[in-house]
Amino acid sequence: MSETVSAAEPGKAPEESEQCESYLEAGGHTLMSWLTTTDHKRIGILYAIAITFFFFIAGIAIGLVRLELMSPRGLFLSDDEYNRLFSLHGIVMVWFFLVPSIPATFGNFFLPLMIGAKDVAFPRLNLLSWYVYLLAAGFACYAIVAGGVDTGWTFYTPFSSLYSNGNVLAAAAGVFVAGFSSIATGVNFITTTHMLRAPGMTWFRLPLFVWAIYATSVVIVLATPILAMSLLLIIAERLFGLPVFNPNDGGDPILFQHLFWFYSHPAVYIMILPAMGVISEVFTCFARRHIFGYAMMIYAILGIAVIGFFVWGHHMFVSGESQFANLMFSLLSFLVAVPSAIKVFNWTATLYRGSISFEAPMVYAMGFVGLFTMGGLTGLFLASIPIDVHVTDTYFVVAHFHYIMVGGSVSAFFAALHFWWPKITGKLYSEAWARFAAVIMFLGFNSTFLPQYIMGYTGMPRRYHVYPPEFQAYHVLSSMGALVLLTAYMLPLVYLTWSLFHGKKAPANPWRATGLEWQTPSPPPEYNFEEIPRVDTLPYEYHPENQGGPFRPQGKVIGGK
Amino acid sequence: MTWGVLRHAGVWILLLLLLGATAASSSFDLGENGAVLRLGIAGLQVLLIWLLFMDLLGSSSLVRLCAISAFLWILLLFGLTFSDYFTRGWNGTSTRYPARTATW
Amino acid sequence: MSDDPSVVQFPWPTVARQREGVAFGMWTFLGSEILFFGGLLLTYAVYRTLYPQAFNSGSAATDIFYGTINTALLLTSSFIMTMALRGSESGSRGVVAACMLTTAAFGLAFLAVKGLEYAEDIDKHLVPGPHFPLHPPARLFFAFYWVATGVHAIHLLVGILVAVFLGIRVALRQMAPESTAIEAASLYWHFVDSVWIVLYALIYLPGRSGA
Repeated sequence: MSETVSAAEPGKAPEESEQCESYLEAGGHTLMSWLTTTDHKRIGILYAIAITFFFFIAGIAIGLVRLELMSPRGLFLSDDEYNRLFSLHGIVMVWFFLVPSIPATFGNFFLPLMIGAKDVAFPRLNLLSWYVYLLAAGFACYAIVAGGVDTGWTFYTPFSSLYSNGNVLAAAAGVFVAGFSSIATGVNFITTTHMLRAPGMTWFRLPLFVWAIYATSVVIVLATPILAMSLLLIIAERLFGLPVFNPNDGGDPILFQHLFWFYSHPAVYIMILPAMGVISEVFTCFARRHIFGYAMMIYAILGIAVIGFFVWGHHMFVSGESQFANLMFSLLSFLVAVPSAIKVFNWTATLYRGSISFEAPMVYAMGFVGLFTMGGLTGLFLASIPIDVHVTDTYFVVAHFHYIMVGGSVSAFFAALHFWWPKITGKLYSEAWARFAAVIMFLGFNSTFLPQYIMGYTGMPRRYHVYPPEFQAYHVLSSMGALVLLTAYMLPLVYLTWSLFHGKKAPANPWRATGLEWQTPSPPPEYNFEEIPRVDTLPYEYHPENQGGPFRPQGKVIGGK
Repeated sequence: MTWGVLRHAGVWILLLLLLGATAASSSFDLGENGAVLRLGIAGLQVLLIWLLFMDLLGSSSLVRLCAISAFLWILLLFGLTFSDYFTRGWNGTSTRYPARTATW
Repeated sequence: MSDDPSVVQFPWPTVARQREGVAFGMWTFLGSEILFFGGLLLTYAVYRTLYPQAFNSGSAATDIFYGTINTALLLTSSFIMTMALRGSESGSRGVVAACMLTTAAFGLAFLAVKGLEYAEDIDKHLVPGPHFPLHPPARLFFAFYWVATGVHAIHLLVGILVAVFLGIRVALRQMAPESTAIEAASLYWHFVDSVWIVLYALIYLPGRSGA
């Protein structure tokens, strides 16, 4: 990675960063210049700071939960405190970390850069979405400080609307408002992708990360409003006593589950699709290979985005949903595995005969593929009704979705962070520490969640802090793993911060990557490019035929002589 | 320009007439046809507003795609949800339709 | 009005492109809104399928007079809004400002009528509670009634604020009449209007024939 960039560049390397101010300089260093910025790159960083905060809040909550579970009788929490801690973990992780994680940070920062635009379509709306997120965060923090919520992250009625004595209103309002922030971001990204692509950047030349963010935005725009409505109905029932799901008045609590999962299943794809986009970028770059099956990858992304809407009923197999609907949702759930599998096979095929090197982003990405595959395959267990009836509400389910969301999305988040860190900050981090952290994260993750598959399958239910002693070994193993995982999450905080002050200056294109974002200085200037680039080739032209040189960038800056 | 205003005025009057028709129809007992008629008129009014006032007719296919996909997703939401409700009775006695177990 | 610097905004290359983008972005948002109300209509559809008589008796208890007046008010406001957009296309400041403010006035009239209707509903104990006069599942109907009309009223209020804000800015020459915000506001207004048309058919009309 210490190789020089310029040799491979057709045209010129955009190395003259001295003459244009970076986005970090332009506009000033004051706090106000950040809080009033409409620069998509700065907004991406604002989001990153906010979600990192919530990541650790939710992490502390689950740390306490894991500590409590060391003993089968519980250690130090009451039932009520325990319920509130895992609910806090779920609600904050899902809506205040995972949903905005990759799209709102890396999507915000890199979507315009990768399509050769100066900014997103509606820069002020973009800033507004961050403030709306903060407002939502305020509600969530109030709910936490005022004593917490005990409904679990799913807010199931009638418990949430009639019986719970937690701060359901504040939490639901927080999630409701966070939805607006998501939708604003989604609308912005969709419009940007449609309207502001650079000349020559056709749909079938878009990097897969852009496709993934685009598909995610479509899912956000179509799914989030249903969540908003279902939460609004809970608020109406709880605050105003309007019976919506109350069985005493003839209401049907299962209707809430339909509404909730119409959003929350696609929400899984909101979390995993951007991760898949990141992996495609990283794999091609560090295997020095064209992506295998570029068009199929796009169809797979779109297929996942659409079919992801057809499967929500598999969360309700034991709820009292009709047997016919169960069968139908089971079948449809198996279908969504097809495009996911296409992606995994294509990544593997991309590696085949590549000249693979194991820089930190690649190590994280490799971890993603393995963990995502395990999470995906156990998802097929859960799509099958008989097995699902057996393991519903056990740790098997918990392990399954943590493999997707933590093993998948969070690994990809760190892959993206390491891949793009030199571009975002203009600094190089310590490669050795980064690889070390990646390996520790992988090991810590597996020792946390692998035991949960086993204990779940043998009958340990989720959401209990008092359990039969036969499960203690698994719980202790899992808690130990969580400690390792915590260490692994703290490490990047340290060495990345260190690199900000002491890291070597990053060249424009440290990985010799093809994307447009690498054809502008690190860190990029305020309006991304001195001139709008012209795109004349497919993405991922590593080892292009008859071109000479190790790679061919997607475009070069027009008139940048 | 004036022609455009006249056309929109015509649409406006048509909308008001449809409103009168649907309001009047509500006092006649048309059975289930009544619901179809009322929703049909409402649909027609919405269509008029969307196509002419919001100018979907003159918009790019991209914009029309937005409106159409939103409706496809509504169909999806209704279709899959009702595939549960309409088949609850097939479950036998284990999970009844709420209506049958109610006491009133 | 081609590339008027007061109309074209960063990062759009031309006004035409921006206009296209604003319309597309707004429709994307409206797609989201359609699903938002779609979720609400789903609860109506499910419960009406389960309890058709209760829903009819609930509808019969609403006041069709207020409902019809309000529908007419909104249809008229939409017509005026189309004239605002027309004024924007021809760049006539006065037309845009006047039509925006008149549209907003009709919206306010709607809210006033709605307020009268709400007061009457509360008098008749039509809020689900201890003195609710109808058969229990009709409580579900009235839960829908309050949530749906309330959410619609909030949407309308936002529309009114936007229309007043834009109308005043255009009148004070702080904003060009050709601004793309006018079209965005008009799309939103028409959409909120069309939501009401559906709510009107679902809330006020059924169950009136006495059958």
